[in-house]
Parts: sequence; structure tokens; C-alpha cells
Amino acid sequence: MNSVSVLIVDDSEEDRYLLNRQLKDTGLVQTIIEKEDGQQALIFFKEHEKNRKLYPGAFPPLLVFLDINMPFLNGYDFLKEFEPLRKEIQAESSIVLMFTSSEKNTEENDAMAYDFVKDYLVKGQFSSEQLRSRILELD
Amino acid sequence: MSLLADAIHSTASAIIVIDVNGSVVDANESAYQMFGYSKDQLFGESVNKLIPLALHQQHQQHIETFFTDKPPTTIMGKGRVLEGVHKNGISFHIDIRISSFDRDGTTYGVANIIDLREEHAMSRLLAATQEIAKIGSWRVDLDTNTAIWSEMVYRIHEVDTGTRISVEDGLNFYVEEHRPVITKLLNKCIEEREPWDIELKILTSSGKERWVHAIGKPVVNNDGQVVGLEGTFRDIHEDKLNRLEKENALFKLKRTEHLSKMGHWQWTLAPEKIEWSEGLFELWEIDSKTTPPSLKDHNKYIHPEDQERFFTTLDNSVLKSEPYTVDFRIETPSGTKHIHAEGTPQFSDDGTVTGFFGTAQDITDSRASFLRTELLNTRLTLALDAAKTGVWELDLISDALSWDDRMFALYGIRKEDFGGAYDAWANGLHPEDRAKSEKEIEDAISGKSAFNTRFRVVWPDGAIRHIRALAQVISDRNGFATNMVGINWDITDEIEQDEQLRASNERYALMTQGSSVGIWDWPDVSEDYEYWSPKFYELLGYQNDELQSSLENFGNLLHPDDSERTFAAVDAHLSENTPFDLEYRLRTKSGEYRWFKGTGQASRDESGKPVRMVGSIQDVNERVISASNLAKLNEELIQFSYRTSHDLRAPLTTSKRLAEFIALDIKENNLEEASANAGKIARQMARLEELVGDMLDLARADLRTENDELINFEELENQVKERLSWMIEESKCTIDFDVTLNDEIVGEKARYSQIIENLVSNGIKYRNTKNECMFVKVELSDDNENVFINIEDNGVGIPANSQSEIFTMFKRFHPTIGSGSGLGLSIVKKHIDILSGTVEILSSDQGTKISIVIPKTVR
Repeated sequence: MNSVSVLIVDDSEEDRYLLNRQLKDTGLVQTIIEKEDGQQALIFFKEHEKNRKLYPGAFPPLLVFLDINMPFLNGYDFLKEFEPLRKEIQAESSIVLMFTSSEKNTEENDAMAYDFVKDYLVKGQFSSEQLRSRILELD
Repeated sequence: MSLLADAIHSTASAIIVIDVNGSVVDANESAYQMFGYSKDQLFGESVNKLIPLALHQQHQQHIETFFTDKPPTTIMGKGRVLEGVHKNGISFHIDIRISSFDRDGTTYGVANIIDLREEHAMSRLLAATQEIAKIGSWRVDLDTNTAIWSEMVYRIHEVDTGTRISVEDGLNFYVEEHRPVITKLLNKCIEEREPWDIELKILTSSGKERWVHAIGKPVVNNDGQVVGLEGTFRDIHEDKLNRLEKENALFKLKRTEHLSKMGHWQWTLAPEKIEWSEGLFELWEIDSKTTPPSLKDHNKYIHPEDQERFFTTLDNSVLKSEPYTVDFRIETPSGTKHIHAEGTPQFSDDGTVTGFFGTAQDITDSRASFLRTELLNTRLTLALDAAKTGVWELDLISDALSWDDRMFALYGIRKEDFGGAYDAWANGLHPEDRAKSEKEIEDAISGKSAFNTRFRVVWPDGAIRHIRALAQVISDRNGFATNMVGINWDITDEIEQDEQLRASNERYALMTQGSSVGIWDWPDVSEDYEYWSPKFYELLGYQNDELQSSLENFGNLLHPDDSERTFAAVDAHLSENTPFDLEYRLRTKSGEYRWFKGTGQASRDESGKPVRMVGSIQDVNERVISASNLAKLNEELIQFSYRTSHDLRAPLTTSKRLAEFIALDIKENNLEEASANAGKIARQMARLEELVGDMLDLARADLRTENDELINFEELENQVKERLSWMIEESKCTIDFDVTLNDEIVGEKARYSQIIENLVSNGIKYRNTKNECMFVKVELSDDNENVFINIEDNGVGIPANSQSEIFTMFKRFHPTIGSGSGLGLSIVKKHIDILSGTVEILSSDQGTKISIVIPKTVR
């Protein structure tokens, strides 16, 4: 599992940078794609034909790190749209990991209700090592 | 003389010869003896000497007539009894036959006189007998149509004896109604030889009514022909009247006994005999032709329960020879009768009991009415007792007032202290009511008005009681008021209750008026009608009765969204008795819906079935609205604290991690990366600074710490431009201020300043770089009431789908363009709200125009 492709969806440039760097530290990731909000991420999946060519072997990304608080289309709204879409575009291999600074249980529960959401990570509370084990635990 | 001459002298008849002058010229021996005269005393004397003086004149005329007519032998007076007078003056009855003869040219009269004294004595006896028996005899000669009456018959008819009477005359004496009866009997006797015997009434010649007993039979000759009638005639008047009176008395007794349902009996001891009156037979319902039952037979008739008493009473009476009185029942074919019997022994002169006499009367009806009266009396007493009603009676003639015991209780007087006079009542009256009540009594007595009044009485202990009085005047047959009967009862409690009820009603009215609660009353839950209190109407903005109070109209006023749950709550309360207490909206007259708190409670009958429901409404609109505002505010606060904590922490977390990387980069001598990351930290810190600044502004916006001051908008413009100078320079935007104010504006300068600065900064931040000339225009103007702030730009505008969230905190519509805190417009809105202003935003991709209206502050 050292050739994982990752999509980071977060409006904060700094947070994307930090996660990007931590993911690289895990040594498990080969490709990292970044999107600034849910809207852009959705478009990225919708344009699956183009992106399969653009990112050979990396599309659909295996892991999607999804922030909740984002303009235009927040994390929840993205999940709602993505649920049917991933079947439609044969992206069912993609799993989502919530990546947020919110520690609210309600938010966690709402997100985890989707079977393709596998984890809920709070920003700044894990090291690269811990991130590595969490990814490995996903099997 | 001759043999004849001697014969004449020896005959018993007296023969007297007279001349035409009526002088006696010759007489025989019998004549001298008959009249008591000698030959010398009689010769040459008038024959009148032998006639009673009263008849002399009449007799003289007869003689003259006789010598003129010279009739053959004639019976004087046609056989009538004449009277002669003896020398001694005693008159006596004689019979005379006279004849005449001529000798030597002279006419002489000869009278042949028979002394009737013998015959007369017999006749006297008969007359006396007739006199005593008041019986007369009569005879009718049909040939001559002549009636021959005896002296008594004449007397009975009060007709002079000897008056000639024809058959018709005789019949005419009978009273008119009896005349046909006797005529018929007479004819029947003549035709059929049938005798008669009858009692009839005649009218005497003087007009007196007499009852007579007439008996008649035919007189038949040798050839068997009816030639006459004869019979007796008797005055029975007194007898008849006595008999009639007796019959009448007996008849009356019978009627009396019948009508009074009475009877009497007579028990004679020796020989023993029991006699019953018809009335008694009728009472016992036994045939009156049968023998009356004996005392012993009475066990057949007397009611078994009464027999012992009956027989004991009667035995005692017989034993002690005392009168008795006993009531008992008898069984008759028509049913049981209540009998009241009284009896008394009868005594002979020597004091021995000869028998008993008694009466019996049917008292079944009177007993029933007596029992009824008793029952009514008992009921009346009970009713009067229960109602504590006193009865009084005033004798208007003697002014005497009588009270029953209950009256004394009503007036708080002891019976023994009461004089019984009208004055006692008047003295008990409350002084203020005395004149009025006395006048009412007078009016009642005079018939002017009915006595139906109330007054107060003062008890001896000073307590005042209210009395209700009704009375009726009783008048005699002439309409003169004689008595007044009335009743009194105490209505003090009633009046006090009325007073309490009135006070309670008043309290209720004041309460409902004064409180903010509207009352409704649904008196019959099966009907539509409801009562709504004046406050109820007022709460809905209606006048009383402007809208009919009904369940249907209540339903019409209910907000459609509240209707279903409200009626469900009513149903649940009625059927399950769940509390009816909820809030719903009602449409007021102006059309606005307001929130009301509704409560209600049903009352139920014995079976638990709801009958009536009463409830209230209370205007809770402000509370509900502010509660909902509060909820919104609360939600906002939660959001705010969450977002602030999130937005405050996020840059810190990020910066911490970046700092770690910088340390790592420096260690690895990757200085370029370290430098970039330091820049990132700086940006994070700048954002944090801005956020904290905005949060302070927002918090400050809620505080009304600043005083109103005269705002110098020129100065304000310069300050805004100064603060935004680095932004303006970088953006190359034109910022125009156009201030045209009629009045000086007074207010909190900082709020105006922040509103304008925030909006201008937004206009710059979200400028459209594709435009050659980018601008933000600020216009300030006013009228009498308001200040108008218009801020217009030709920037990118706010996406149409986000315009409803414009003022929501932490909303950023263009994250790629600006990196604000998302609080800017929230701060603007807060200031406008606090200044009681309004804001409108028109936005498209051509730009945004924000129009703000703020009422002027009156200094």
C-alpha cells in the first residue's frame, strides 16, 4: 500500500499544505490532488473521463480527505451529491475520511452515517505516524 | 049534622075554614087542640094568629092570591115544612093542604093541617146526626132535573136551605179540576148503574175550598129504569187536610232519609217487633218488603273487624238502658259503607224500657272528605314547617291578629309576650318600612292592589330580618272585607345570597375587564353557541357582538396551521379529560394573526359525560414572538461560539503545525520551505487578528455605550478613507462620497462609521477586476424623518442563491477573492437594527446596491 492516490478537499491553503506534507511523510501516498471546496471536488469527479486520462492510475483517488466547513458546497452537501455519483462513475473504490477542526459529535455521526465514510480526523491532533497507522487500518 | 060532620071533628087533622078576609069562620076539634085555642078564642080571628109573626105578611098575600085564583086542592109550599104557632107561643112543624068551596054566593077556604111534630122529632134526630157527622143526603129527580138536598148539604155548600138547585148547579160547585171527574161518575152511574164513592174538592158559595166525600147510587123504578140518583155528601175537609199533611210529612221524611243516606228503626219489646224505615232498607240495600233483620242477624252485615265493637256497644246500651253512638262498617252489594249510628231506649210512664229507637247514617263520603281534609292539613303543616312559613289571620272587624307558632319565630317574639294585636306586627316592622307596609295592607283591604310585598322586621335583639309577605283579603257576600289571611317567610338568606352573587358578578366583571384574559363559555357542548366576554372580543380587535360568538366562528379565526391540533386538543379534553392548555394563533379584525394561550375545562354530568366547557384566551403574542426570537438568537449564539472557537483555533492549530515544519525544515536546512511556511504563519495570524477585531466590533455593536452626537460626515468620510487607504491604493478603485443633507444628523457616530466602512471595504474586496473603472459610491441624504445611505459598486455581486443568507454570520461568498471573517455584513445588520433602520440589497453580476434607511434621532 505505497501507491495510494489522495484527494484533499479544503478551503484552507495552509491546511492542505500541512496534510499534504504529513501524507508524504507516511510514505504511503503516491499522488495528491487538492481541491478548495466541495463544488470543485464534485466537478473533479464528474469530469471522471478526463481525469482518468489526466491522472492515470490515480483516478478515482482511493482516499478523499474532506473538510466540512467550506464555501459554496460544504462537506455534507458534497457527501450527499457524491453518494450516487460514485456508483455512476465506478468510483466506488473511493473512500472518504472527514478532515475537520470540528469536534462536534453530531457532525461526526452525520458524516459516518455514509458507509463510504470510513474515518473522522480532527485537524492538528495527529502526527504523521498516527496518520500512517489510521490509513493502514482502513485495509 | 051528618055523619060526615062528626067524622070531621074526630079526625086527627085540624080543619080550619076561613073567609076571603082570612078570618076563621069554623074549625074542628082537632084544630082547637092542635093550636090550644077554644072555639070562642078562634072564631072571627085572622088565621095569621096560627102563623109565626115573621110569616104573617107573606101568608096574607098567599090568602089573597088563593081567593082570586081559587085553585083546586093545593099543598102549600109544595110539601114544604111550614110552621104553626101554638097558643103557648111554641112553633111547630105542620103540613097544610088548602082548598075552597062556595056557599050562598060566598067563597070559603078550607085548610087541612097535619101536626108534623112527631115526624119532625125524627127529622131533628136525623138532622142532629147529620150535623155531628157533617154528612148530608141528597136526591136527584132526573125528570124534573131537580136536586133535593138535606139541610147539611145546603150548609156544606153554604147555600140557604130550600134554595132550588138543579143538577148543573150542584155540579158547578165542584172545583174546576174535579168537575170532569164527578160529571163522568154521574153519567156512568146513570148509564151503567154504577155507584161512586170519591173524595173531591168543592168551592162553597162564599168561595171556600172544602174537601167532601161524595157517595152516589142510582134510583131505579119498578120498570128497572134509572129515574134518579141519591147518595150522601160529607164534609171531610179537616180530616183530609190532616191526612194530606201526614202523608206529606212522611214523604218528606222518606226524602230526607234518602238524601242524607239515613234510616231509622224502632224496636218494640212487648210484643217484640222491629220496624225499619225505607231509608234504612235502602242503606242496608235490602228489599223493603221483607222483614227487617234482627240485631242477631247483623253479623251478616257488619264488617268482621267492627263486629265486636258494634255488639258490645249495643249490648251495653240495652243492659244499662243508655243511649249509644257507634261507627262501624257494613258490607253491602255496592261495597263497604261507613255507618254512624245512634240509638236511645224508650221508656213507659213507670220507667220501664219499652223499646229502642235509633238512626243510622252513611258517612262514607264525609269520612273520606274528613280524611282528605286531615291529609291536606298534615301536608300543609309539613310544608309550612319545612319552608319556615308563618300563617296569620287578621280579623278586620275586631282588629285581632292571630299568628301560628311559626310567625313568632319569624319575628323573634315569644308567644307569651305577644298581645295578639295588629299593633304588635306594626311595632315589629323596621321603622323605614312601616308606613309603606301599612299602606299596602290598606290598599289590599280596599281591593286597590294585592298584598305581595317584602319588608324588614327588627327583632327584640336588634337583628334585622327580611320578610316576604303574601296575603289575601276575605270578603263577605256583600263584598265587605272581613278577614285577611296571609303568610310570611324569611328571605334574609336569599337576599344575602343575592347580594353575594351580585358582588361576585361584579368582581367577575371587574376581573375580566381588568385582566388581559378573555373568557369563553360553551354552555352546551352539543351546540354551536358560545359566550365570549367583552375582553375576548377586545383581544381580537372586535366590538362586542360585531362577530357572532360561536364555535364555528372560533374555528374560522384559528390559523389554518393551528386548527387541527387545537380541535384535537378540545376533543381529547372532552373525551379523555386531557388538559386543554395550548397556544394557537387567532386572526384579529385587522387580519393579523396573534398568538394566544388557550385553556379550558369541561364540566361533566354524573356519568362523566361533558356538558359544558369554559375557558380563556390570553394574548401571548409578544412572548411567543420574543421566545422565537430568543430561540433564534440562542441558535445564533451557539453558531457564533462554535464558529468563533473553530475559526480562532483553526489558524492556531495550523500555525503550530507550520512552526513544527519550519523547525524541521531549518534542521534539514531547507530554508526556502521554512521561509514560505513562516509566511503562511504570518497570514494565519493576520486572519486571526482581523477575526478578533471583527468580533470586538460585533460585540461592541450590541452595546449602547456611546452617546448621541452631531455627526460630521466629512470627517467620517476622511476617517473611513484613511483606514481603508492601503486597500484603496492596492485595488485602484474609485471611492466617491456624495453627502447632501438638509439637517444635521445626530446619532452614534461609530455605528454610522462601521456601517459605511464595512460596506465600502466589501465593495473594494469584491470588485470586478475585469472592469476598467472600478468604483464604490456612497450617497448620504435625508428627509424630515430619515437618513438614507446608498452604497453602490460595480463588483462581482452576491451569488443569487446566497442572497437570503447575506447577513448570516461567517458567510463568505467569494472565498477565492477575499478572506474575511464572514462577520462584516452581520456587523452592519446589527448596527442598522439597533438604529431601528432597514436595509435592502440588490445584487447581480453587474454590481451591488445597498440601500439603508435610518430614522432620525430626535435630539
